[in-house]
Amino acid sequence: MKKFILYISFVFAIFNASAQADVTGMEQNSKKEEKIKALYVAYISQQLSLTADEAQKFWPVHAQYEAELKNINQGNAAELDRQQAVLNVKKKYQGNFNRILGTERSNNFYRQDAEFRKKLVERLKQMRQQRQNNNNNDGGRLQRGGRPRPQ
Amino acid sequence: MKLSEDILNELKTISKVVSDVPYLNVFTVNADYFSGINDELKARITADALYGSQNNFAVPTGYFETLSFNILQRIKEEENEVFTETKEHSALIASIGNKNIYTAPKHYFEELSFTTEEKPLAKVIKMSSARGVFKYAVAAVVTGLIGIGIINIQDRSDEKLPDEVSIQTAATISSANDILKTGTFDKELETVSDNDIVQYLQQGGQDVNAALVAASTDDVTTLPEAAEYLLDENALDNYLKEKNLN
Repeated sequence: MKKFILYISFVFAIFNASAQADVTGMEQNSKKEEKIKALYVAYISQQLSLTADEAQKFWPVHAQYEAELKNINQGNAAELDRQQAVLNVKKKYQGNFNRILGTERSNNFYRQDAEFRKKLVERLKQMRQQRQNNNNNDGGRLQRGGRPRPQ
Repeated sequence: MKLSEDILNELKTISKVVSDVPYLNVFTVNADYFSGINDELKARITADALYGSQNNFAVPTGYFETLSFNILQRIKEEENEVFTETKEHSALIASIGNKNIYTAPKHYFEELSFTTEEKPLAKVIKMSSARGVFKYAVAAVVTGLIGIGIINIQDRSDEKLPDEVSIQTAATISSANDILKTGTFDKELETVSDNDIVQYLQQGGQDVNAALVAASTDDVTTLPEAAEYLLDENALDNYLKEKNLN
């Protein structure tokens, strides 16, 4: 009986430790995601010149819109089906965004949304090119007998 | 006379058979019937007296002297018949015969108490109060662990509640306002890592490699030719390496 209780306690201790580690990992990922989201909100707010009243109405609707897109993108649908589904969601929410922002700014929202992603891609490109250049420079120095730069 | 005719006619209407019976006295006897009756009666009385003196319940001579022997003889004969019949059905039961099998040896019950083996008693473990408390404490700990485990599973499996989403949205908007107020968008963007950007773009359903290629192809002529993709499956990777994007 004692052995059984010890065994059960041990199993649950490991399980809880694992669960806690998962939660911590999820929290860290969530924080990183939140940072990019904050940048996104800042970018869109600036580009659309959202007022406080508009922001109060716009962002909750946007949260639902984003959640639906996330569900679609996490699915295993064929690429064209996925794109069609994404387009359907965008069209579905167009009316809601029109009512809050007006037609012109609603259209602009979709453009700026794509622009933000372009900015991220551009930033990614810069980082990778910079990293590659650094590697090339370090390689050249090593070939000339230099010491590698500490990382 | 007329009366007797009327009676006869009436009788005919009632029963023709009876009316046809001749008018005769049927209770007549022979003329010398009573003349010899005395002799005949006497003869019969003599015969009755003769048969009445005979004893019908008489037994043979010496019947009771041999009666007990005869009875025992008959019983033995019947027993032999039973034994033979039992032997036919079961030799084992026949071998028991008339023996009393429900007997015990002499003084068996008197000596019974001495011959019975005494079995050792099981060890008695007394439940002390401290042990009882410990048992409940262990049960409480195990229950608690199970409960925490279940809550953890639920936390991981449950989707975020709408309230939680709105709180997150509010927090994100607050952070975004700070970025706008301080004008640190570019600076904040520089702090985002390569992996985080890739993860974010992929969650949005974007093909990151394709996006990088698109971003680096201001001059479309630098892209590999269609034939190059057919000849080398790593053509795109090589191009990205060449452009320092891989």
